[in-house]
Amino acid sequence: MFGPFVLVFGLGIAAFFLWVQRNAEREEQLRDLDREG
Amino acid sequence: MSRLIKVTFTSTSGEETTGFATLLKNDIVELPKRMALRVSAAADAGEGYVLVAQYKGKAAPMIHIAGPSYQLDKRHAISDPWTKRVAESFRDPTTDQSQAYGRYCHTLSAAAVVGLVGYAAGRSIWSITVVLNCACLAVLAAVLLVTGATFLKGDK
Repeated sequence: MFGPFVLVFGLGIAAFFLWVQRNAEREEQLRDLDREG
Repeated sequence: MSRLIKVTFTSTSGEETTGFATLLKNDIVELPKRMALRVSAAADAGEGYVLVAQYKGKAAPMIHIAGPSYQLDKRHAISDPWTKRVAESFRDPTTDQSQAYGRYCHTLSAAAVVGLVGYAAGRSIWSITVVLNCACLAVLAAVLLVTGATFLKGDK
């Protein structure tokens, strides 16, 4: 039964990329705050 | 023939401007008028400033010659180590990198759909295990599709 293993692996990849996206949004917000002083 | 290079002006007052300048023969860079005015304003106000050109992936300092003309100092050009660039690509990805991540997720999602169809078509007898494997691939395809879509949101 390979399904659950593939699912956990894929969810791990998705979670990693969601974390990357959260980082990007946080950096963008920090840049906006810097610009606004 | 001249070409354009990206130049960043940073002053001690916190001002930072990025623009394009003309790169002439013999590595002479000619600043656009708008940026040259900012440089002279910072110099007149007694502020410190730095002018850096992005040249072949490296940051090269610029030496003032006269007026808006500067010499590109290639010998002292620096670039971030690749480990830092890798970390930066995940900590603060550029728009292109974000889009690449989105496309990667969509590719994996499509692979899960193709795998699901191929696996299901090859089964002559359906059992709980087969259904569970198919369900896992379907969930994975959906999750990766949604994750990829959030990276490719773009401008409305």
